[in-house]
Amino acid sequence: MTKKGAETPEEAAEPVFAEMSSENLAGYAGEWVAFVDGTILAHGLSLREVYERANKSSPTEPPTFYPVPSQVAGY
Amino acid sequence: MASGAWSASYQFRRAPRNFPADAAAALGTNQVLLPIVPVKLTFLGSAFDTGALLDTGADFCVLPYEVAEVLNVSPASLGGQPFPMAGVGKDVMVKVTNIDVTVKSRTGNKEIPMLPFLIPVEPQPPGRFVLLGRHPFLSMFDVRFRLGYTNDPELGKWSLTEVTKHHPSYRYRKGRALAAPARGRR
Repeated sequence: MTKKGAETPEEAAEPVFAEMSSENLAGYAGEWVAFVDGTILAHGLSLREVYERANKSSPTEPPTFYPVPSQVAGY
Repeated sequence: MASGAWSASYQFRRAPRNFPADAAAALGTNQVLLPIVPVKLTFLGSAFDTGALLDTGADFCVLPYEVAEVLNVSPASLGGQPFPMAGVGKDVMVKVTNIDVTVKSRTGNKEIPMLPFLIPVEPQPPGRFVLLGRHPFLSMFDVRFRLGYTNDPELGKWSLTEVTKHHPSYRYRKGRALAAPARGRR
């Protein structure tokens, strides 16, 4: 029984990747995008280049990398 | 849900796509929702933070070629013979290696050491997600999809809960093996 006011796992949805919204990523379809704290550090088609640029921009905090889908796919 | 088991909940992520109007009309939505797990992949000191796609349609976990490159995993140097994996449109030759995975959560991270991944031995088109497939990832977690859980019917949430075994499986095997033969009623 869940205590009143306590969050169930479903209610405690992760805010960790709140930056990954369609608004933020609208212009990057088909690319890799690197984030730190919701800020885009680098983007491009080559993950290796995006990885190096982003790590150079943020040497202390590791960036997070997402591929942005470019088309409807049957995963 | 067993108390004490690791559990985390995530919002679905909308893919930034503009659906063609006729597709939206046919499907009843113009949103594509991706269940993406925040993970950190580690291989021999190299680390890569990304969002992995929870893929209930994949038999195994798959590491895209370009992610393997960034992690300094060289498929050519891995042991064993490559074998074919059914990909989209054609088969892809893959090898297997183990990667340490940390599933990130606001309520605490979950370490999964030595998770086996299939890695293509030849370059693929760019921009592919790391896939978390059925074996062994989905044998370790219960997954609940809660589309429509929130007030926003197009968003919803989903959760992972670590599987807790309540009974050792040998009891069931033993029970079946020693079960008295059925005496048929005639």
